[in-house]
Amino acid sequence: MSFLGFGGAPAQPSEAKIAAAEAELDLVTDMFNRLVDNCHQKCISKSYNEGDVNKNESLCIDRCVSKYFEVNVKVGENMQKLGSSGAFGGR
Amino acid sequence: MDQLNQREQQDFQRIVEGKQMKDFMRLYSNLVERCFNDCVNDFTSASLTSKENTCVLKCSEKFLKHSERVGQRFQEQNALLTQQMRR
Amino acid sequence: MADNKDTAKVPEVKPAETKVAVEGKAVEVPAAAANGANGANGATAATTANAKINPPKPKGYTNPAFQAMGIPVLRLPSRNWMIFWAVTSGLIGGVLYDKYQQSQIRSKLCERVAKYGAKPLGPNQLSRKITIYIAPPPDDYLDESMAIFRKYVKPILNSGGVDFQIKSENRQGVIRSTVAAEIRELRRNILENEENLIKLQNEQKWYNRFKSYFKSNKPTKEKIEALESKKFTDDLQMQNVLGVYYNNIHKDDPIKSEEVDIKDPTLQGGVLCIGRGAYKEYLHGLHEGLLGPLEKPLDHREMEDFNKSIEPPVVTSIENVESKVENNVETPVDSNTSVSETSVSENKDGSNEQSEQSEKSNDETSENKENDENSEDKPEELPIPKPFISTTDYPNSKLAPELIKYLNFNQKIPTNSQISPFFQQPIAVIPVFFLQGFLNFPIRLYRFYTRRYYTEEYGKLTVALVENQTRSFNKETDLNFALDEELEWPKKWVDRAKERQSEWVQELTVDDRVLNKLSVYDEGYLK
Repeated sequence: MSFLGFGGAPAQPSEAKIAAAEAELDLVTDMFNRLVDNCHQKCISKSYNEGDVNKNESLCIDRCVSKYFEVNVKVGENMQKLGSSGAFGGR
Repeated sequence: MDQLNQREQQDFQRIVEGKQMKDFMRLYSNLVERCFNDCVNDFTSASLTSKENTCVLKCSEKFLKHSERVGQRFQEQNALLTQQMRR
Repeated sequence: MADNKDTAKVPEVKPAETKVAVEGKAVEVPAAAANGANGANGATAATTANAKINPPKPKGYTNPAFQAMGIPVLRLPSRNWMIFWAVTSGLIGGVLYDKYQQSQIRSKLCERVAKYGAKPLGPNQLSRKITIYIAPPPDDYLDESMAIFRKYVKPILNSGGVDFQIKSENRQGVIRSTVAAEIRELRRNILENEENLIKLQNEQKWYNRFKSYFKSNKPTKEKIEALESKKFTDDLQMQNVLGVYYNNIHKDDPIKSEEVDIKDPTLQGGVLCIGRGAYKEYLHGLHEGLLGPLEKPLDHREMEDFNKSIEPPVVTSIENVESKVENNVETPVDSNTSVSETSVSENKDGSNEQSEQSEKSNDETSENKENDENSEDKPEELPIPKPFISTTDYPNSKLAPELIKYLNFNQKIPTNSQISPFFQQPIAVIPVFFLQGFLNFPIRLYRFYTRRYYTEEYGKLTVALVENQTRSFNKETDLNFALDEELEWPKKWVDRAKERQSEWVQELTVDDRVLNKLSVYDEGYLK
């Protein structure tokens, strides 16, 4: 699947394929929503002085998104490692 | 996503449009809640004061611009990620 | 009589009286015992009389007010303790004063730039981005230069809302080769675009259209389907998926930098070099890119083929093995802790030897990444490409023909990001002072206690960078940026480098044609 790069899916009946694509879409939008919430919490001040996002906040947002993705990747790798080594409670 | 043929693509397209609308609704209610939490703290009168009014306006504008910016960066990062995965 | 005197001074207190009286007696008795041997009765009489008339002063200070409040008699500690506390508090006080002054200066400069950071930025705009080239001090690690960047430059950049990308190096020559490679790529892109334009114009001509009509080959059904599915996935961008773009008029706005509308290239972006080595390499890289050829020169390619035919991918020659061993011994490696775009920390000295080895034509960084994925242990040391044009050839070569028409007529050079390329952006240089040696200890101590002067100097330069105050390059003075740092480089390192003919100890050879186009950040207006 193309979105988060979770490897290519083998040939499946069409409903299953559509369901898988839909699930991936859900994952992506969920990740986006969490990202918006978290970066808003960390980067933008609550005392709304003006209606525009200023430069410092914009830079903060850019870096927040970049770091979030890095964390995503690293956690994924760690989970794979833990899962394969069986230290994760035998899942 | 690459393995979907013509008919599947059409179905999926419809699903995507429906989801986008749902996500938009979710965004709207989230925004309302956020601006209410941040701006409105004084319950001595039944209607919004002018200060709260301006605060809500600014809050919603800022949040939407913030969302758009995050969306742009999200797309860039996603593209980078899929490029790396495909390599 | 002694008692009367005491009561005159200290009317109420009895313990003092008795103490004095006791002391008077105590003085009296040993004096008498001592003088008994001498047998000078007058003397004893005199001392005892003295003791009675002038009783020894009580140690410490007190007065009626203090006594009323219950504060005990205040005494200074002994002479030795006094010396100890004086020295310790002097040293610590110096450090604390310096730190306090540093933070004051830093916050004052940050406040000055804060107004630039408070300006609004649209969701489709990218803020101004400067490029920072960081080189470590000779014979040492990159962390020193990074610490200078973090302490003196980064707070002001962040406060001013200026984005930055860091390009660092651990060995000599990396900065030069990347700068030259980027300029060459820009030139190649311009050349390609021009050729495509000419091709398109040719195709539009009627005889070519006539020809192509008869030559059409229709694609097969599978190809069409594959193309369409690819188009589907390409179109499925975030703009069609995320809720925030539903019915949003800004859906398809292009992303561009905020500086796109500025015509003057000296007001866009910026380049900051940290370290004399970085500055030298940057200038040499500029010259190599602008004056040098687009393709690798023939003698390099010959050397490369020669080496390829002899050496298999696994290293067999003695020199390579030796340097590999040296690398294994000297590198304190942890590749996971690298910050984005900074490479692994190593000893510069050991890696110099391998950089003189065989050259390859591939881009170094991409190969490094591949090697990182392949080898579990330390990444392989790839040799740095030699300069495509040596410094002695500068007067004989032509300024990049692809760029001449843009440069001469002040037209904007077309780049991917639509702002002017980095070699037109102004330069700022920050030295990295790093004295080594036992005998230099007093100077190092003095510098440790006066770091506030550095904060001020480098901070003002960064403020000039944020505020875009520039002047054109002045050949007499501006080639000597950070020269003080070079004069302090450890002699032994310099001698060894001269033997190996490393890059940093070469003279800074420049060409006027390139220097005319450069500009420099000037902080003179701040004083």
